[in-house]
Amino acid sequence: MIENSFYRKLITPIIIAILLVALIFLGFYPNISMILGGIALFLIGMEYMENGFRTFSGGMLEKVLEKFTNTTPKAITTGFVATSIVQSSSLLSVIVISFLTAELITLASAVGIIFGSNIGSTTTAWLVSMFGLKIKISAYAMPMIVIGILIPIVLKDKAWKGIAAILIGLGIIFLGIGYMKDGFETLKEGMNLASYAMDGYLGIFVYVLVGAIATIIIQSSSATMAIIITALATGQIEYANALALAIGANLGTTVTAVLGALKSNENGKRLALAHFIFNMITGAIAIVFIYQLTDLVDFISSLIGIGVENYAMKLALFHTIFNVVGVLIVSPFIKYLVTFLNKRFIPTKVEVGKAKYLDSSILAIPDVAISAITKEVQHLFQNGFKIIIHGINIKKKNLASQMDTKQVIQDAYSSEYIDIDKFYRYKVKGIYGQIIDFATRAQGNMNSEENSHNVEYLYKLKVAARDIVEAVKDTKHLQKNLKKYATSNNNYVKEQYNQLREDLTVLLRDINSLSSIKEQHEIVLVLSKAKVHSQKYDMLANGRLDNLIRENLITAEMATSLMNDSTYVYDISKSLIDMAEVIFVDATIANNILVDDDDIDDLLNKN
Amino acid sequence: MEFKKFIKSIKNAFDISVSKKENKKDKIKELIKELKIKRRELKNKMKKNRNKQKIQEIQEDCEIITLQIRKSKRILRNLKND
Repeated sequence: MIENSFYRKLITPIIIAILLVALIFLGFYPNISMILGGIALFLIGMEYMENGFRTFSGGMLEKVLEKFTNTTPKAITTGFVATSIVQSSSLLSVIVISFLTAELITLASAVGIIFGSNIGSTTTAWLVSMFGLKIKISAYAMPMIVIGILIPIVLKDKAWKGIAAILIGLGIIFLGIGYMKDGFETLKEGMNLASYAMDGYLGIFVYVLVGAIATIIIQSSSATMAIIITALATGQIEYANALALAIGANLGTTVTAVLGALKSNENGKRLALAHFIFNMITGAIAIVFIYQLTDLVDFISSLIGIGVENYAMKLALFHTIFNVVGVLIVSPFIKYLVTFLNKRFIPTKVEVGKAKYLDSSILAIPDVAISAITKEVQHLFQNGFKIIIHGINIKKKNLASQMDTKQVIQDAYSSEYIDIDKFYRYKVKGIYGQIIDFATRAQGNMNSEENSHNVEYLYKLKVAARDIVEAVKDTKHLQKNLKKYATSNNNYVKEQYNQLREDLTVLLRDINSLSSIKEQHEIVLVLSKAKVHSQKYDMLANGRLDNLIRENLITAEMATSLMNDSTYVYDISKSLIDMAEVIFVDATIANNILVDDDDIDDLLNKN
Repeated sequence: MEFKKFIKSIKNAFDISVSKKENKKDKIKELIKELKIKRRELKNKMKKNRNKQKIQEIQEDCEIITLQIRKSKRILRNLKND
């Protein structure tokens, strides 16, 4: 233990020492430090752009990814378009994993998005080869950075802040490319890397390996591509070797994904393996058919007007072509890949009293977090609902049947009433606690104005979860006397308690039917009817009670018990109806949409 | 009409130009429309029925639908006044 902590303490000074040595070393080699500085600027620029697009889109990216991915072609196209715009396949991976965890999309769709994202990430090479190498830094990159800094001072809107970050990002990327280019050009004067060029398949394998290692170190295939293109444009590497480096960059990026997935959940692992398999197959195809693909690149280049000597753009075209070919070959087998991945990574079975959908990886995306909490409240409802049904000693299957309500309450679930407290602790308490904890943490990421509706809905979800818990607890109180008077010698009180069970059963039947109703107006109607009925039954129960007291048919103790218990029945009904309005009615209209208490009073008094 | 609906669904998906309030208004209007259809159906059913208890049940349902329509219209009015 002591040795371990001693070594741990040594790590930081060692790293600082290495960095200092590197700093001194780079001071002697300004051209190398210029290239490395360019790479660093490129990476910073990419991060700025990624954050900028997230701010600018304000959750739109997540919405698009959720809605336009139900078929493989749609998923691939969406993945391609989204990555081309955002310029970050890792951002897309994070979102896709969180969607999978919240069960918003299927694994097949997620795999499709990742395939599309692979093609989308090739647009960076186009950006660098078309603009990056030709752009005059003083004319474009610097003004972009200056304007990007000025925008948030003048315009406070969030979208403008996003645009500003994108401009700064682009400016820094171009600046980075400029430094890389200058670095390679100066390096050429003292050292010619092209002299290390290798021909044939040996050269291909060596450069594929170099490309892969470089990407693993830099952790960004886009940055590796930028280096390759600038080195190619300055004549530091040969075209054939650059093609092999590009294949290597594609392979190297999967290693980064696999390493990242080691700590992730099953969905992260499945997706990383899908990405790995896809890139390995694509890489293998590209290596085997490299000469044919080069001919294809030449042919297409001549068609779209890319010059014979414009190797930078030809490399970008090669990068896109072999990824498209990979997608075309692998996508018909997505179904089999999904089956394999599902078998390979079997999710650990969720314990009964534990949350199913709340994964901390989705906390950062408000819309996804809300969907997951909604699903978890539904999960809590299923558990709580079962306890309530069995708590009043009826069978769940009878609720959905055509059986008469009187028969339903006669067909007891068990000879003895269940221990609600035990089931509450086992099936409800843990999930409820997790929902409240998760919702509170999720709210921390919803500070901005455009998330106000999410915060409002989150509050409703928390209240709905509390309603379920309250309903279960009220059932526990009700059960005490249901048990006591079930064997009473006084038939009047026995009958009254059976009537309470019957009234509650009618309500439970309505709530149980909601999950199979699709039309919103039908759901609203069922709940409004349930609200009217629960108020009506409460009035009737009070009337019956008055008669029994007046005619001395029950004792004072029985009367107070009945009075309290009919209140419990009313409260259970109210809690379940309020909860159902939140989780079954469309969130856009689920805000006091059900009929008012005053209207119900008028209606009942009229009748 | 279908084309308009299609455009609206795309706008909704992207949250462009259709504000949350407008979306809510549209959904409540749709709800009122569906409820009115349902009430008409029930009334037709009631005319054909001879069972007194059944007729009373349907009548009660119609009254609740009327209440629900009234409540929905109230919400719609408030939204318009906001």
